[in-house]
Amino acid sequence: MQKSNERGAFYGIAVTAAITALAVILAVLVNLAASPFIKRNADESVRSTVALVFDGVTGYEDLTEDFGVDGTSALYRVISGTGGEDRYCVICGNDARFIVGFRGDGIITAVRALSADGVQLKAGQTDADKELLAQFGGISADAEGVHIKNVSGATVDASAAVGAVNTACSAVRALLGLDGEASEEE
Amino acid sequence: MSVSSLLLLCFSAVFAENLVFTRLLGVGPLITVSGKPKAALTVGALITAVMTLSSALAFAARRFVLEPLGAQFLQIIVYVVIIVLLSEGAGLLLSRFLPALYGIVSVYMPLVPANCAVLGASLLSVQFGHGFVQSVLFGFFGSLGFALALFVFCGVRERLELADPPRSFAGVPMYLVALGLIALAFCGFKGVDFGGGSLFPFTLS
Amino acid sequence: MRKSVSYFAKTGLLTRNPAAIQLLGLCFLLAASASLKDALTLGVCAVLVLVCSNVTLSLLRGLIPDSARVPAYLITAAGFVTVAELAVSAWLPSAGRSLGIYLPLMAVNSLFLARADAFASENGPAASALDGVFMGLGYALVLVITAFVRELLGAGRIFGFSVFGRAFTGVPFFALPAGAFVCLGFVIAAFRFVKRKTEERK
Repeated sequence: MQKSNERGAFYGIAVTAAITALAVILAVLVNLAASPFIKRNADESVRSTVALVFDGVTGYEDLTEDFGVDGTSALYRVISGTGGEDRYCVICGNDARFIVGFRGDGIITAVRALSADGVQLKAGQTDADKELLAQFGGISADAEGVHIKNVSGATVDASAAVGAVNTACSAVRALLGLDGEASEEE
Repeated sequence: MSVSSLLLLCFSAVFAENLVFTRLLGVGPLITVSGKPKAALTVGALITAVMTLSSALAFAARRFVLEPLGAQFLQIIVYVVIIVLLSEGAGLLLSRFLPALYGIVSVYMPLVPANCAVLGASLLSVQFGHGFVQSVLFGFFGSLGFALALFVFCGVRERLELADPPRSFAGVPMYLVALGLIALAFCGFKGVDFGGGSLFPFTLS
Repeated sequence: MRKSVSYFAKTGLLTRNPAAIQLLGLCFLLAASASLKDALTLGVCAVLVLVCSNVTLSLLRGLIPDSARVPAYLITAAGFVTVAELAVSAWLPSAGRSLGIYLPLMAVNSLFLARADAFASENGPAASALDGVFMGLGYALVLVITAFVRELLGAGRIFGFSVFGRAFTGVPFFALPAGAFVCLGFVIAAFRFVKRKTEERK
């Protein structure tokens, strides 16, 4: 061990750099092997999350890049096998996530509470919570601001839900061009 | 990203999302260094500096290098390299300009990069989707939260020295139970409502 | 200085248990012990990463100067943890999601650093592998025991299966961070007690 102590500082930096390079190469190789599986898992997880608010989902288009606003973590255009009108869903919130489903004309269909890893929150399924979240159904995205009666959920916080739904509405307003301009959706 | 949401972020980073008592990070260094208050102060300051800078650099690395290359899986290695470089740099600066202080903390130097709080703050920023300002603020105030935990625990530990626990509990088990009680107190911050929604809408996740 | 397998087993699992006696990597024992499933996933990853890290650094021993010890050990651990994280995302996605940031955070687990410094840097690869296996198992043992206690008392479940049915759905305290601290304190105290009794018997 004595020998290695006498080499200069640059040797230490070189060794560290070499180890870093080896670690990066290893990571790249493993990533090549694992990425198809990772992509498949991510896809399945999105599908199962979207299925919480819609039935008959066959596919989705990720519009987060183009239409996501501050506070939304994902925005999808949902494709269904029956070929009905477009539907959209938005996932909002940081620690407290909600998924909000919209019909093609901007009316909310359903809201669900999600945990940080995108699974429906078990705690958010009590009757009080369901009653809270059901109030959002039928509200249109172009409403000025979302207001509900002051119902509190058992574990779901009403103001967090309202905030999330407002964010979702603003994203869908921009997407569907409901900001005072009439536009045609497909 | 209004000023009020930033203030909320800072407050929650210190209290409701305290890295030690809520996220359970940085417990190792906390216990190791709280026995020596003078060293604790220096180590706390070093961790603050390294955490803030590493949050900034980690965000930049992710945004400008990893994402364009689609290489987010290299995030761990890159973040660790950043943290290690900053820690070594901080150690060098300290040994050059404040050698007496460096002498006291040189034993504890590995605690600066090798603690979960520093890397954890950067990883949490990624999970929360923070922008640059938010990442830096979260890193800085998160480290202040760690310093707070250190400060509180130094005092508690002094009191514990006077206690007479069963032999198996003497030392770390006792410290852990004490930390648990403090953590219980920090739980109280979870219910705080600032009018814009409480900081922790869910009681249990 | 050949040491037998039983020596490694005894020191790794009990007398020099990395979690309970050497007090390494405590953060994960607190964070990942909320459920048994998380604990097992993290424990297995810890063993595998420790073995790989120990063997690699043992092969590189003599090449790494003192000044670059900590960076080299940390970056090696980071590399293997990246591999573990990719593998978990690919083949155990739900476990990975529920572990969240705590799996990538293993890169700075002082367990890997300490074993590399104390053992792998001075011993051959075979011995380092043994050290890695048993020290890793010792760490996983404490993790699993703590998780067992916390999940049982905190939710009345084991692996998500409700053990007591409706009679007892758990005391939420144990699921909280505060409960993690307290449980771990008791588990470590128990280990110390067992260790002392084993040594007194000689």
